[in-house]
Amino acid sequence: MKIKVSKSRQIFLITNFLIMFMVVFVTLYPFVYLIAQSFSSDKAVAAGLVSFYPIEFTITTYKYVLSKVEFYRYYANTIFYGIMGTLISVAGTAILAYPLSKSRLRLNKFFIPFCIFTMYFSGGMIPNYILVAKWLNLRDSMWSILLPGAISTFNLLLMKSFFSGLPEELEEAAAIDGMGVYSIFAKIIIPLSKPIIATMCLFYLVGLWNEWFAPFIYLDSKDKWPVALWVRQLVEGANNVEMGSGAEESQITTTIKSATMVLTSLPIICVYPFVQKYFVQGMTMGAVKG
Amino acid sequence: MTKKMVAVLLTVSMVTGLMGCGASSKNTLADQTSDTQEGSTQAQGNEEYTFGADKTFYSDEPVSYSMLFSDHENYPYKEDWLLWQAIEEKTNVTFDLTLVARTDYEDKKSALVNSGSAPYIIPKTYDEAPYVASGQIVPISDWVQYMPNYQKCVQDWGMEEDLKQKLKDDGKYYVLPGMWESQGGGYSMIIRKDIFDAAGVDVETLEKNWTWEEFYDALKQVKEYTGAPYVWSDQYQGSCALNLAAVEYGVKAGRSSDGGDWGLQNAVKFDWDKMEFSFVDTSDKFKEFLSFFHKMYTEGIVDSETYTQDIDAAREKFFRGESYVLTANYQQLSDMIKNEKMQDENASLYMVTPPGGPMGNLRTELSRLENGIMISQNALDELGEEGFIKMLRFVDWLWYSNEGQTLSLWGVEGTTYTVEDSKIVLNPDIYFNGINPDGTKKLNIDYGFGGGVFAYGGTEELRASKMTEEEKNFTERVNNNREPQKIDPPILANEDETEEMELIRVPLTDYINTMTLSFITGTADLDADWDEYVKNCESKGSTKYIEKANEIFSKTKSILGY
Repeated sequence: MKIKVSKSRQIFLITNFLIMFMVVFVTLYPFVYLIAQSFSSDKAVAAGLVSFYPIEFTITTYKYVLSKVEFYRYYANTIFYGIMGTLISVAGTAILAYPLSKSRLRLNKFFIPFCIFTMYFSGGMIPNYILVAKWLNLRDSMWSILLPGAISTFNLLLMKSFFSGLPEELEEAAAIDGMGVYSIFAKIIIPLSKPIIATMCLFYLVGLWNEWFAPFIYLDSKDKWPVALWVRQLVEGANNVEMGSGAEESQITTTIKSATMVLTSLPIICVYPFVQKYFVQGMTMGAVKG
Repeated sequence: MTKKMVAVLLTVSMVTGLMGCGASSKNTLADQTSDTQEGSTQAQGNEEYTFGADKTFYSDEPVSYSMLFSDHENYPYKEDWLLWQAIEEKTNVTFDLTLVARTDYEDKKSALVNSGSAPYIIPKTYDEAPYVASGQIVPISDWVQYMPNYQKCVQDWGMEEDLKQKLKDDGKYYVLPGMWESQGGGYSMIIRKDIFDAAGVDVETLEKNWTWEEFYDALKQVKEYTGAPYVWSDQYQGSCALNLAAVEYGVKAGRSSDGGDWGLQNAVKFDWDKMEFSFVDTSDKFKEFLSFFHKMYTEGIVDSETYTQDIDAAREKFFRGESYVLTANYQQLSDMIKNEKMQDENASLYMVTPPGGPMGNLRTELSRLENGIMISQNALDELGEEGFIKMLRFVDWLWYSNEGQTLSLWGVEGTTYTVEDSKIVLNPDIYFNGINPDGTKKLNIDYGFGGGVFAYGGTEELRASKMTEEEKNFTERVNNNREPQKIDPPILANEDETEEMELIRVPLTDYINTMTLSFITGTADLDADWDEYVKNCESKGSTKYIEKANEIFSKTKSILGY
């Protein structure tokens, strides 16, 4: 049976397809370009001949990047920061968000604006550095990546609204049955909050995966670097030519840069399609108070 | 209630913050003066280490100094570099390094210095001015008398005039600059010699004393021969080329859209006859300069995209063989040859001597000074005066003695290089800077030598030793055919004056830069709009700026020795 589609509908579908195609193209092209570059010869890239597919196909660049010891070390660091940081951040956020979600606690009127304040104003780079590196004595420590920015206010507010949405009666019932505050939190609230915890994990993981500034400012030795900082060094190095210095060597090749970027963004790109629904859900979750 | 609490909290934190600032700056000032006064009397005869001009520094006890290290992405730091081992063997000194990626070096330096946690030695400083006010940097000119090799460089090479560039309004300088006995070749134009030859342009004869006008004639000939839409498509948005020409026209120009200042600076030059500063970018010389580039633009010699395109786009055109001229330095040329970047395998590349102009055939490379080393106040506070002077003498050996400079650049004799007929010969299996293109190891990547943190500065011989035959040839051509230009004295403004002048300079030079490009590309007309341009510069404070500069000059010329 042939379904008849009206003319206006046809026009709509075609326009829709074209617009969506453009959107997809604009989003995907940088990746395609990067991949094409990483598999091309350096000469072809330098002459600007590569656009959609590799020219003078080669995998030597990947062999080169994968043969570097530091690549694996930085990768291992990133994985460590990702996992440890996510654990600390999610735990910290949940512990702070829970009491803040209780409107009967009077001091919340002070603490909530106090937290929100940090979303809009910060101490600036140097005061932060003094605080973390000198006063907390975290200079060149892996903890300087995990602790100072552990709780993001935005995530905190999302979690707080989610907790407020949970029925108060559940907790009251548990309290009557003799459960203390901590057991209620651990045994009732946390199991009920799996969706928001999943979202938080994702938010924090992606954030930590891409984080380069905190490692850059607080770490003094390269063996603690995450891979993002290394990629930044490669990419920025190509854009930032030193003027007039005596003994500098030539630029790192664009192909190596591209291959490294492909390799470091690969895990997140692979994971993303499976978890992207949480990203969207996470933003709206708790937005409507039950 | 909440509002009140927040207000109280803010006030308290502000007041404590302010008190903190005041207290710390007072202390450091007091410390500085007292330490300096004692410094010249004590610290002599401290002999638990050997030092001296042309004498190897050696500490009897092992010592470690903290240092900031700019990590270059092309030769990333390695713990097992022979460099570290060689320094330790010679001097018994090791470094406690704070590693920072080169690209973000300034940000980290700023955080460390301003928070008072800077390592003792802070190398690779191009501009020390932002750090001076923090009180965290030692005024090193008070201490250079303890540095015999440094003193020797200054005297033997006559560096006094060059060092004046580094003075601040208190008559002191805060950085130990790298010093070369003579200038390098600097930037110039790489040309496609095969095409120029085919077009009948005899570059090698012409370049000896050619002017920009003659360079234009040569390019025109190439354009006629090739029939190409343009022959020159430049990188750095043309600003490097503008600077090269500006020197020869006696004006200031060249600032790229990414903010890289190639030569525009403050649009002011010093008039040595009248002994005063003058504003050159509203002069007739500037008009002549602009009309020259306008001509190149309208006649299709220069690519119309030159002034807007990014670096890669310009290089791509050159590598593809669509343009035949590119401004660059010699390292870039070596890189193009080594990595076979040209699509046309028969392409032959040649770096020409930069053309001269109405002001004569001047060298475009100005200074013999390089980036330098700042010493943190922490070193003085923590090491005490004797220890501080000892550290300075180590710095003196490593960066200013011929032995230290040779070590930093070439490594260890017998391991990385040999000396034949008193000339340094790199081992054939090691590649560096275009030398031994077939070498399997790299001097900077595998050994740590020849890196930007240590290896800059030295004698003319040392400078020549790291050049390929072609580069030596280029440097010789520049040295033989070009006159050095006289360096303008610095404007020794204090903090308030600097701020006042910056408020004029930034919008004024932005305007000049925009108008330079407008005049060149023809969006503004050189005849019709020129008076308007001069008037606008005036209203943006060009005269006021000059008056201020001259006032400061007459006030401080005794410091400068005029």
